[in-house]
Amino acid sequence: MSGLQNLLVPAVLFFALGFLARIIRSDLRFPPDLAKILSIYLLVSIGIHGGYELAKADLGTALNAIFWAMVLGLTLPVIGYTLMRATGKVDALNASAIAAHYGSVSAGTFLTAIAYLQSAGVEYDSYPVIMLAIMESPAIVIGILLAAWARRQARSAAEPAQDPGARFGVSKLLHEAFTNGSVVLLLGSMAIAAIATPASLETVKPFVDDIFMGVLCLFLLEMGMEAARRIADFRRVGAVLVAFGIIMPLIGGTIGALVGAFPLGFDVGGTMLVAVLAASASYIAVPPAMRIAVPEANPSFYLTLSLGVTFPFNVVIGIPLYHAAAELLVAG
Amino acid sequence: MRSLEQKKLLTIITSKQLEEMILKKLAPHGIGGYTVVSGHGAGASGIQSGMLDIDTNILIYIILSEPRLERVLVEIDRMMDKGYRLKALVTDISILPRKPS
Repeated sequence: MSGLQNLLVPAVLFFALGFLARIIRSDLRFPPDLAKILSIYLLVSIGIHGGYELAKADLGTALNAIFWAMVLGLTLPVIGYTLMRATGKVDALNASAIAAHYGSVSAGTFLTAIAYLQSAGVEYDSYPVIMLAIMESPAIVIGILLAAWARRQARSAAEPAQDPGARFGVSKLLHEAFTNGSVVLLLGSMAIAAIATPASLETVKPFVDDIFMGVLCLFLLEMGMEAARRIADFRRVGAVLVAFGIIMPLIGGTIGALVGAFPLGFDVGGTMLVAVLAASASYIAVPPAMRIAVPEANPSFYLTLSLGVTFPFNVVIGIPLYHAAAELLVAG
Repeated sequence: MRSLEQKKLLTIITSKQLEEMILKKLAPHGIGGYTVVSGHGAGASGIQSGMLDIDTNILIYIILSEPRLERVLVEIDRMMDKGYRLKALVTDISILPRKPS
């Protein structure tokens, strides 16, 4: 099955439908909070799946996956920041806030990748699910540190400005990042599935298994509309940043595929999922943290990049590319 | 009948993500009562579609006296200086008080 054929799955096609609906100015609109409900369901479902598999998994490999998730979460923002600053077109504070998004992950992209693998009949390691939970937050720390460093560089001796993040309390900010609702849901669901008896887990199977793909279709329909809404902001963001929103996932995806294939030694599916994690940009955990810690950065930049450029790029083009890279590295 | 009191209505338009921080900063100025409404729109911070918390706007309504308003506006001005994106609108209002004067 070719990469293009694998894209002809309902989840991706619903994303395209949502996108198209906005382009043709349809009056299609989700009721308030439906997207939030769907994302809660998807996180619980993927958490239960991951927890069930991880209960049978090897502890050493799981710890290794956590270690590499931290490494990716901490290094990708630095690469992104350096790249943006090298263009000379992005100021340091906007670069800090945007870079933090690219060190974190997008659960929506990850779930689409799982739908892609399932449609292709490719088995995948369960460890990337725990990496998904771990990678939500470390990049926030790097984003805050990069912004603090940028402020220090810009500050004159006569103007001892304070760090907005520090005033709100960096420890409070980090507490919020690590106790973010999506992290709690994902880790909590994994713990529940790991502790619960297999027989009792069977009772929730229709909820987490049978309707999963249908819910993902609805979620991606709304995400398609959201991505199309962001096109209007491309002019504000500028060509350099839009290009960054495409180049950075390719860099992250390559690094992720290498990490998945070699230090972690995952199968093709697992390697592809690590590539997807490293290629995706957060739209849940990082934006609120950056709003508070780096208020000088323009939210339209990082939200347009994350939701309007990188998310659709990964769903339509990136995922088949990362699959091909994983096949090349793992299967030779 | 109760007589109408002259008060100020402060409306703050901002991102939902800043709600907790703003209310914490205003609490020391005696602001304990407020109403928050979610919304969507667009502006200098881009599109706020209201789909997810990250792109949901809120309106915070606070009814307060003029002397208290002055102190609150100084605090809001400080937040704006730091780069926080919010709009503050002040309206003169007449209110039927809960307790008879």
